[in-house]
Amino acid sequence: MYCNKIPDKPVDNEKIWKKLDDLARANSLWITAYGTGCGAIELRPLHTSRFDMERFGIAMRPTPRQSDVLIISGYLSVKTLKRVIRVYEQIQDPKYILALGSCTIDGGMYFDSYNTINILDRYIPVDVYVNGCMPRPEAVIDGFILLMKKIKEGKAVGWKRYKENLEYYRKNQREIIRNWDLPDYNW
Amino acid sequence: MTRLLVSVILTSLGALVYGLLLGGVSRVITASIHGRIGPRLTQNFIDLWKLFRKESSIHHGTMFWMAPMFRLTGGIGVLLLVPIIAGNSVLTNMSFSGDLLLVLYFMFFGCLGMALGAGDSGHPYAVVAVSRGLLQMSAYELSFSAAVLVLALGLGTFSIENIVSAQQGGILNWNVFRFPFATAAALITFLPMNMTYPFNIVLAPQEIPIGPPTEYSSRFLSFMFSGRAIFGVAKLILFVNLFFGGAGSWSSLLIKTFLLYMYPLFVSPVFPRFRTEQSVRFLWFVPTSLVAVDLLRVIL
Amino acid sequence: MVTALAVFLPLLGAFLTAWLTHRNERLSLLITRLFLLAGLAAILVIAARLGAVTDGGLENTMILRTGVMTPPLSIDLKVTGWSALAAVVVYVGALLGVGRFSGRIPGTQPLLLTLVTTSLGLMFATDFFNSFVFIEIGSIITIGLTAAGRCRRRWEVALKTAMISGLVTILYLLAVVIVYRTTGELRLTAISTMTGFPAILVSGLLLTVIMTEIKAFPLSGWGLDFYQGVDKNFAAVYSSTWSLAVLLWSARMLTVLPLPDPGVLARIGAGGLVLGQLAGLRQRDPGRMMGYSTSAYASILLILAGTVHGADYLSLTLLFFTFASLSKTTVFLMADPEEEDDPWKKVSGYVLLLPLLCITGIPPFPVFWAKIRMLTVLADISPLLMGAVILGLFFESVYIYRLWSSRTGPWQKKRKYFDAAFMGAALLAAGTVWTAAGAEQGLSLSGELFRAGFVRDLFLAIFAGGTLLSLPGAFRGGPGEKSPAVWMLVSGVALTLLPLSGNGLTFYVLWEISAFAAVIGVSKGARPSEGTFWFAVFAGAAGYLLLASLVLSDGAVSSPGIPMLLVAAAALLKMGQGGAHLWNVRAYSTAPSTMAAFLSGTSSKAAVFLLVFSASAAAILPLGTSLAWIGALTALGMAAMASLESDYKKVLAYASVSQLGYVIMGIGLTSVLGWTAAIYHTFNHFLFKSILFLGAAGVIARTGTSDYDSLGGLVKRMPLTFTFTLISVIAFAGVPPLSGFGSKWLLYNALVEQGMLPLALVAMFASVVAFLYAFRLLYAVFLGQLAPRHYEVKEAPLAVLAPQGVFTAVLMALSFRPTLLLDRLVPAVASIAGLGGEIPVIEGTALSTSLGYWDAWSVGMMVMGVFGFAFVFYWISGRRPIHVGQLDIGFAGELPPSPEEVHYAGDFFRPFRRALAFLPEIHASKVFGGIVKTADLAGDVFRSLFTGDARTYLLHSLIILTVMILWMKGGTP
Repeated sequence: MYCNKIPDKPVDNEKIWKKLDDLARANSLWITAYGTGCGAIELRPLHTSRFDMERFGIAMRPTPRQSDVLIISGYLSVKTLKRVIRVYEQIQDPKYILALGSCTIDGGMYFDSYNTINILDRYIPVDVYVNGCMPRPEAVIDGFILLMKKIKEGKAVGWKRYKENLEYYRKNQREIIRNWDLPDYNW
Repeated sequence: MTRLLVSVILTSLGALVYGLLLGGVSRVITASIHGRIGPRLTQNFIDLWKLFRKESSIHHGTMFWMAPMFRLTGGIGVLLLVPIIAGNSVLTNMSFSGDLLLVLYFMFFGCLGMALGAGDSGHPYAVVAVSRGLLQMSAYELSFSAAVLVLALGLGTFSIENIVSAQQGGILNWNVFRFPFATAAALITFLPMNMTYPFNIVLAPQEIPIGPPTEYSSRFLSFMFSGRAIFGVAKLILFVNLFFGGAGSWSSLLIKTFLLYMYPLFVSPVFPRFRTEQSVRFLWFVPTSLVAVDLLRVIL
Repeated sequence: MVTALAVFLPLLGAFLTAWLTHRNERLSLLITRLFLLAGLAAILVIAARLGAVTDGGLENTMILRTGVMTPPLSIDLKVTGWSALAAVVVYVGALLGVGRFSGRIPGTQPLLLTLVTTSLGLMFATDFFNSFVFIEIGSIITIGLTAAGRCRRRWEVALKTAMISGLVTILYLLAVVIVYRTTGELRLTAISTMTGFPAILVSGLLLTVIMTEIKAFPLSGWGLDFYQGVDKNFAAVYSSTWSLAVLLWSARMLTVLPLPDPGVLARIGAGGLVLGQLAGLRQRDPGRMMGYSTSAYASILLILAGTVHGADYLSLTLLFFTFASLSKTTVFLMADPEEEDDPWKKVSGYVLLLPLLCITGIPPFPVFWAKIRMLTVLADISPLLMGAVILGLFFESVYIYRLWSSRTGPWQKKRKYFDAAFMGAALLAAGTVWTAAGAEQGLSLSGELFRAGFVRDLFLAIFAGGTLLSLPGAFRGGPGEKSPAVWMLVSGVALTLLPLSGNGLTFYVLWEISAFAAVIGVSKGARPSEGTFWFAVFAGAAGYLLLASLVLSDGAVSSPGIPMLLVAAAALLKMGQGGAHLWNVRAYSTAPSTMAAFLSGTSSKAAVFLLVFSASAAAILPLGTSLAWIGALTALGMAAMASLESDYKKVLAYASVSQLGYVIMGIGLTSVLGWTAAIYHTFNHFLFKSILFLGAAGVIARTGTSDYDSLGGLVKRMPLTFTFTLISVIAFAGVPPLSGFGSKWLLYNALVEQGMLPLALVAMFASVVAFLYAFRLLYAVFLGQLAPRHYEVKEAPLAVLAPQGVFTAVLMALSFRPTLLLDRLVPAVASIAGLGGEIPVIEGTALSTSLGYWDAWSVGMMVMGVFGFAFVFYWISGRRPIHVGQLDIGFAGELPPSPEEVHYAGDFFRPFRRALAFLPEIHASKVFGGIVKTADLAGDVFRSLFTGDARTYLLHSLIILTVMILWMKGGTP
């Protein structure tokens, strides 16, 4: 019922289109509309005329298949992590992760909770952290601009890291998720 | 033959560029209505290129794979079957191979292909959207084809070129003035055809994750984007030909299509979304009864 | 000497067996049989000597005087060729029944043998007193044999019979007294000279006696009770002996009754036929059904006596009653008398069907020839009378089909029913022989029917090709089905001969054979009873309408007016148009899938053929617009129904009816364009509906279900079936470049040319609604999620796949080159006289009218070109996508619970249902349910006459007697 293939390791081939590709990717960031934690509330103002994220070419997509960016908005519980893994793996390459709030960096105020993730990067590859509790929309936009810059420079390669070190990430994920029932890779 | 081929390729590419550009304009205008700055005019080109150059993609089966090609073929096909500029022998493209009836039925080609692809994806929301889309299509086709039949009977022809030439000689000869009610009905059906509010029940992002293309990604999606852009332009040209006197020159073509394209923009932002059965019933009764007025005029 | 032997041998046997029985049952039975055989031989000799067999000398006579005195003091027997043949049947019936009946209830042989002698005596009797003796003995033996077997229920029946016999005797004796008093003699023929009040009195008395004895409505109550309660094996003997004898004696009597107006007999008969059979409609008890059928034949006798005279009368009565009696005997032989509720429970319907079809008079059974002859005579006298008779006969066939259709189970105890089955086959053989003879007689139904030409050849190709290609899959039935191959072949051959038939009669015979072979084919399905019954009823109704039309127009159905109306109605019923889709849906969904493919793809075209050919354009013109509207509304309504239905085969059934709506629309336009569209669409429909149903056959054969909710995702397992289905779906949805668009294009051109815009609008709406079910069909069965229980499903069997491939190849050829067909079709249609309107112009591959143009070839090339380009471009422009699993879908980060739960197929168009909610729900089943209920209510009125109390029956007889005498008294001053 599930595809049991393991993704190939990404090959780094410089192509003539690379510059143009990166430029296009940077200027057309589509977000998976998935509020993983409390920070999701800060994303809504981005749509509004006050912050207007569309001017950067950023748009919300309701399905991971069509998006480029997954925003981990605030603390991530173990239960949500499982869903995040699935959503993240369903996003097509290249894909980026924007981690919002201090909780994603070190657990923040929930650092000693029994079911929140303390260091997000152990489980999925984060490209840009935006700290704060919660970061204001301006900070989120700042994070996006950083992400765009990294993409243009070709440094936003979290997705490559994830594929190359899939065993490492899987080990960490399985350690923390007790009722692991995901397929080998969530195509 | 070579001339035809060149014309076909240029028309398709031109329609693609024009369609994407129109999309950009509409996004900018919508943003302005919201009081935002909005994206670049070229945003759609950037999106298309990004999607086209995505590094991986998935598929669910043969029909899933072929659906974007169906969509593209449907869009280009309709475009080629409609004479673009009246009297221009090159830009009539393939319109010698069929009349208005063919165009009407060929418009289903892309929809059917898309629906099959959505079905093959195995995603329930995609299919829910197809169910909605087909229902709505069956509803607006009723009044649209009624309007078209009124034209055909009133002008005594199914040939688009003849319909265009019948409208020449003064603005009052345009079908919009000859058959005002049929045109009004057709303009109402133009909204669901372009899936704008209040009829955007198919790609209803907050209800069902964007409908039929839910599972589509990367290059597949870029094909569908292109198909949709071209199809949109083809529909614009068709409407201009049918109701607004056709286009005698490039400038009139651009102005007319642009104005026609702007029309849904000023209707849709102020409406909420219909439920499916509301939309269907509205389309069954309101535009159809409008056409009925002209229908009676033509028959009597 | 031989005559005496023929009559009295059984009596001799009776004395012998009376001594033997209870001593040696076996020997007694053997002797009974021997005596009966000897008697049969004797009567055959007589029949041969009279020339009845060879020269049709029904009126040749032979007198047998048994005593030295003259009648009534001795018995004088007059044997005619007519009665000799009937006597053969008496012997055959007795021979068939004796083993089953007397073998089971010992001691009945003497009575049975005596009953044979008595029956023969009554048939040959020439005077009143002899007749009285025979009637008396016959009645007493009947009562005795009915009561045999020590069963309380039988005794009740016997008592009723005794009471009725008593009344009959009294009335009869009264009549005899009056006859003797007035004329001074007792010859049966003497009464024809009587005049005045005595004549009236005698006529009234004798008519009451006859109607009671032959169980004509409304005096048939006791007969119903009799057949319901009597030992069914005795009923077998009774039907061919005593019952037949009484019928034929009455047939003789009715001709000599001094009635003021013999025509009144026909009216009594026709009225009784309609009302009596109406009462029988709701009948569930099989025995009682046979009683009703008997009463129908009694009514037929009255009708014949009132309308037909001379040699015709003799041959018709003989044909009707001997074969009906034999059939009834055969039916009763198959019964198991121990089963009180349903004696035919264990019998296979297929064996039962032969005699039952003979009773209802389906060609080629002999009763059919009698029926059609009677109807031709009636049509000349009064079409109204003919209509009433047809209605009554139709009612009869309805309950006969019900009797049959619920008994399609396996056939147990095969050996036991060998004789009965053999008899059924013999009936069929006799019928076939008679058919050959009957066709020679011509029956004046010989209008020249079918113009040779391309259109006829096209239909020939459809019938032959459809049969051949549906057949391979039919050899192995699907899950729970039996193979319908034989019946499909029979039906198909009859269909194929249809366009070749030279006259209306042949056409009708082939039509009926084809229809009823198909009915049997349908009954091979998994849950056959509902579908089979309704199919039989509708096929029967269509058949009767066609028959009425044929008879009214002397075989040339092309005559305008009422015959055309009847033909149109028959065709509409056959195609399920205008609400008659009830049978299509029930039959197609319960039939074996290949049979459904044959019915929908091939067999339904017979109705189109009938309309296109037997009806000339001029005849159809007055009906045109109504036909077109019926077609359009059917197309729309059925498309909506198909969208809301969730059973694969039912959807296809609705779709089939809906698509045929376009054909009817085209025919109704009576223009060249319209008919071209209709015939072109007929051919298209033949192709894609065959593909769809064969595809469904494959799917159902592999998965065992036709429910949308439990199918899905089969494209992964049955890619070829999917491809064929996809192509045919695109074709019937009318999406260019496939061929369905051609029919639509022609049709809209025709509609706009005629200025029928509202009609065009309905058609267009219908074709858009067709998308709904078209997509749903593809999705629910082939796309979406594959249920785990179907993981092991294999591709459809080759026997259905290969024909689909052939159909698809033709479809594709036609799609890209419609001119292959249109090149010949257009001139052929244009040459049909009476069709108005424009003739489409064909230039190369392009087709044009004054309205528009269409070039299928260049559209096809364009689509192929653009699609090919897109495909190649996709292929070379990047990496191959990865084929993921069926549950690898973006499901909000969750793992989808299971494929079945993710597959969204049930109530797919719920918003459509909601949007339609403002309409009142009109279901054909409710409409027909209403008709049935009304008929039941009306029937109840008459059924309430039959209280089951013998005293009521006596009262009926007396009332009828009084009414009749008073009425005739009023007639003659």
